[in-house]
Amino acid sequence: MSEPILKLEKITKIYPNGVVANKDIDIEFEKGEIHAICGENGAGKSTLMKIIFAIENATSGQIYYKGQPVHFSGSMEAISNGIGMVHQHFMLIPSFTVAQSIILGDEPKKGMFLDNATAIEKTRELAHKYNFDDIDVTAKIANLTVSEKQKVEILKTLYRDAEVIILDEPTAVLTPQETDELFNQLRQFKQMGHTIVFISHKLNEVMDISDRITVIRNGHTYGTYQTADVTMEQLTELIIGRKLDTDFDALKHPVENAKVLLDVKNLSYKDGGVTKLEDITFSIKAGEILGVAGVQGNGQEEMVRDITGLIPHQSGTVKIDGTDISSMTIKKKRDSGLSYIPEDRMEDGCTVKESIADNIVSTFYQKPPLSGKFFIHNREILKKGRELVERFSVKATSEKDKVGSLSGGNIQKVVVAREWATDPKVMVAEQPTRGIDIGSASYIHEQLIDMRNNGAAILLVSADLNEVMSLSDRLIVMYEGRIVAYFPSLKGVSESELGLYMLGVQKMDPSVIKEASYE
Amino acid sequence: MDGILGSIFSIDFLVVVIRVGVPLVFASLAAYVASLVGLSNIAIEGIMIMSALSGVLISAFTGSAWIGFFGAAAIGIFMALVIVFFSMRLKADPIMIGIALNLFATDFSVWLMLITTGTKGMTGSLPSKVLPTVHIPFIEDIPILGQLISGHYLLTYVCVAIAIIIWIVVYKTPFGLRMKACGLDATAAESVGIKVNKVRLIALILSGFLAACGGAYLSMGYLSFYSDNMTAGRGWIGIAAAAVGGGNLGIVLLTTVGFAIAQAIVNMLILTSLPTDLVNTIPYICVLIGLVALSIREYHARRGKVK
Amino acid sequence: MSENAAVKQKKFSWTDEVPFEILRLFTAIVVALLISFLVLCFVSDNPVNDFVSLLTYPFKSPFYFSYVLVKMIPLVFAGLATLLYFRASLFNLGTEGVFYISGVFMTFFAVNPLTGIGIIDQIICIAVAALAGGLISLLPGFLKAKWNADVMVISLMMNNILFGVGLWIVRTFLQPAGVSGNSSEYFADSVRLTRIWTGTQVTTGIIIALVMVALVWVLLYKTKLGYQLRMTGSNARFAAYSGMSAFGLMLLIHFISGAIAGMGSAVELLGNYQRFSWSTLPGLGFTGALMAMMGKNNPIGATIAAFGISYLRASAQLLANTSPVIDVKMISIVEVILTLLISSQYFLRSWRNKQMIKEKGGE
Repeated sequence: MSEPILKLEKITKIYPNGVVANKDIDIEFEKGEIHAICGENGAGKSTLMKIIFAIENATSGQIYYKGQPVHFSGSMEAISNGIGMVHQHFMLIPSFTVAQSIILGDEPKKGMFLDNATAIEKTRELAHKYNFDDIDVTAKIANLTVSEKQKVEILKTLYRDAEVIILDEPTAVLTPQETDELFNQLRQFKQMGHTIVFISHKLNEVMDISDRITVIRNGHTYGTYQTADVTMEQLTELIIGRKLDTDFDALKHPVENAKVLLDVKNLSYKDGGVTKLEDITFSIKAGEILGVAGVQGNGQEEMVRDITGLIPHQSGTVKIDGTDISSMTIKKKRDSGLSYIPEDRMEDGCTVKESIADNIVSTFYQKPPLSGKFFIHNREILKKGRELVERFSVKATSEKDKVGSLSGGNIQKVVVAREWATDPKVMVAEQPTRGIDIGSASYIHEQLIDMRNNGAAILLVSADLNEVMSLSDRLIVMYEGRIVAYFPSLKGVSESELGLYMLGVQKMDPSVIKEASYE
Repeated sequence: MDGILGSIFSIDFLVVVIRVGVPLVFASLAAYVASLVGLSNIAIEGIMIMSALSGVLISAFTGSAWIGFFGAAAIGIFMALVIVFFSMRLKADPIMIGIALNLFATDFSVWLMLITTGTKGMTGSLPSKVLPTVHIPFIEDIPILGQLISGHYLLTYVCVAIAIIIWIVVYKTPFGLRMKACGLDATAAESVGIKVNKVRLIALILSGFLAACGGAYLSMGYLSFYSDNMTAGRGWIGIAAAAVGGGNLGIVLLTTVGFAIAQAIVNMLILTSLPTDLVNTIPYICVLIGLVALSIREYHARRGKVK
Repeated sequence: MSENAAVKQKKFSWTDEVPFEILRLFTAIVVALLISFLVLCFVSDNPVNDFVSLLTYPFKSPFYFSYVLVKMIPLVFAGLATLLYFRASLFNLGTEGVFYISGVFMTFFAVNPLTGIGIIDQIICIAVAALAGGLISLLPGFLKAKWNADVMVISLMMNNILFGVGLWIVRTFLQPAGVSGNSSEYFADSVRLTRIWTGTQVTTGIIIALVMVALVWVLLYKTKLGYQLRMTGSNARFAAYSGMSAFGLMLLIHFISGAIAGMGSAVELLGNYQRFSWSTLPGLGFTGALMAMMGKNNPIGATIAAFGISYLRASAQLLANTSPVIDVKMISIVEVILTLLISSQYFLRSWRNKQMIKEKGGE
């Protein structure tokens, strides 16, 4: 076998706070292979990629590129040496055009001026060369779909002649069909001689696309395998060190005399003249989880924010247990029995500068015994904080710790604990486990099931098909602001079947969709 | 009132607008380039104060207007570098740094005057120099145009030139695209290898230089001394104009010129029997209204069509 | 869990949270004083002597020391007013203008007292100033709450407007007929605050100031409003998501803050002035921003900062007659360096990281 194009030798990363993100990582990447880096969230995959891409410096160890030891001083140098990266969160500026986004940092010039004509021409040629003809290079980034944005990100690396392309969880935001399309493109890149580093925790995809797989757990490598030589079961065991249990049906108990707790009728929403939601109608009974599947950006966010009051309500009704809450303030909605686990836990779900206790009571601090008419009772707040920290096994030294000092999974537990604590009638859970470790994720899943069994109505919105399919009792699919499919049960429903609805290829008959509402 | 209306449409009035407007344009440009790259410089007022004073002091002690001017520019750039250093290296909030620098300049300038001249009010006793006036041959002989275009202080022309250069750089060069990228999303800019800190450093040096020019214009142009509170909030007007214009240089400059016109009108109204103190507030009220109007517009744009 | 155990076993270290903050503060003070000493070396014939005087002068006599307290009072009020804004992430610098205009309104009641009973007239004066300050501050508060206007620029524009309007009121309504200048008629004797330290100018104002410190502390850390303020200030979206109304809070904070500034203005004028004679903005509001920053937006911190800065300012002012180079304005060097270093999150951080890695060496 020839010299590996990229070789990591004993890479170790220790953060100043003592966290060991990577320890003695050894990986060799061959030219022209698709090499998957597999491991659960928090295993150290992203840190490792940041080290390769010189966003972070390794504490010790050596990287060899094309046989030479290298010390990139910054991502600039990594890029100019032919390493490109597609980040999990897109690095695109909404007000720029596609062409501008692609050329930024390596702009074609005419004299000392920016050469716009050449920029457009070059990017168009590039898109054509790599079969990305559907991308309009003069379009504004803000007007692109998620999968188009991802293509722009890939084009950015190709524009810089990337030989090694690192893709960090690229399928997290895609439908199954879009994923297939991406995989075909990646295979084509491989044919053209590019090396693809594919980071993912989705095993079936890894098995599908990769030539070789390196497993990372707790910052250590657990070997590199030929994909053809390993089975899913073996990989699963390597990745999490234990067998995965996703059978939630066994945990579910039926709720007797269930009445409708959340009833949404004809919800519509327009943003600056653009229709974001149209005629959304569904209802959820006590002891039920209604899943919402859909590619991101098809109205799920607006629906959740309308119901929970983060954006002003426009038309339609939302009732909780018979009370119309649609035009209420957030506080009134919460008082009516609404709870909400927000998608963006760092921006909406917590304030990192304040203590766990202060964070965990933010939605009910004004109620006795936590406070009186004017004063808050700090002792009671601390007591409540301690109680919830223990109940939800949040890993922290004390309830006085700043939330910012916790890991993502534990921050999410704080959020869930707070939303659980008010004993809500309706829980809206938006991407409740995105980007957190498997341990915390399955704990949170169990809590949601628990709440369901205790008679809460749960609206579960997630881009993770696995999550919605395994937790939900019933399911709706959203496409372009409408409900396009309704499944009263998920028995026998396949991911690819859902994918057709998510992409708008198929649509159910309105009479079936109407069934999503009990009335 | 007829007299005032008459004088508003006169050449003299336009000359006054230019005279009032130049330091304001410097201040607006200083605020604009800084906010464009995403590192606010709100110390413009303070930089203007320190540069205006140091220009006077240095030119008086060296006997050279040019050394005085470059000294003033150096002071301005140094203060901008303080913002860069403390925000980038020591992670202080640039707003806080700006507030602190402004307060520092307000007081420290008075102390400097005291130790150099023995008085706290103004530097009139020092033999400071002024920057040259430029008379453009031929054009100065054309009746109206000559009066309008020729015969201003050098910094007036520098101001126009820099405004044009900034426009070209921002809208027509790769560096301008990078500046915008740094301001809109620093992480994204970083990810394609743009050295955000370097871009910001360059922009802040320019910002400090521009604010310094605004200060020097005040004390080394029509007037050849520094007096306490000479800048009279011009730096803040620049920041307000940059806020009103957002990333759009054209609107920033229009807002600034609008303020200069209001100020020029006020200068005339003061000669009438209207209460001076109230008349003086008119330009600020204009800016206030402009800012509020902008906020309302953005507010509605954000909310979309509600009901 | 082993990490936690390690934390508990560890002995005292300067890298721990609280000792490290104290060390930072101490270092910042030393650096600030050192630099001002260096500046003195350039301009003074006898820098050591001047510097030592500057640091010790107020202790030379009780009267000198009392002067520190007198100077400190308005800074405490301005610091409290500003820190409430900063806590809510509002960069409102309008305390300056509010100080001016509320003093103007108060002057009407100070020149012609309503009752003639000292204590009641004093209370009326302070209440009028507080009310004026609070109501006027509602304007930027409303603009921010309703349309998210840039509160810093608005408040700065308002400073100029309030000054213009205030000066006009003084000249038109408060100035004695036939007198030129910008001063009002003399305040009635009865409204002037009572001296509580004989032979000095220290008045009941200091008690009012300290009571306000305590009240603001309670407000911030013990009340529902304070809880909302802290949450909103540290993450406004989180507060909104949790059901807190930013609109009411913005208005309330602006009113309270403006009222504190107004009180400060009244206390300053009734304590140290015989009539309203500010012909420029007094500069106290801006200094309040410095106190808030140096005190890390904590009422007690801001009070300590106000004491420290007043100490140096008083000392400089007292020495101004004896030294040609020392002046109260010179203290601005100490102020700016302290403020910059204290607001620098990374100041001494690399030292701390190195120490921590050294301490963890064994692992």
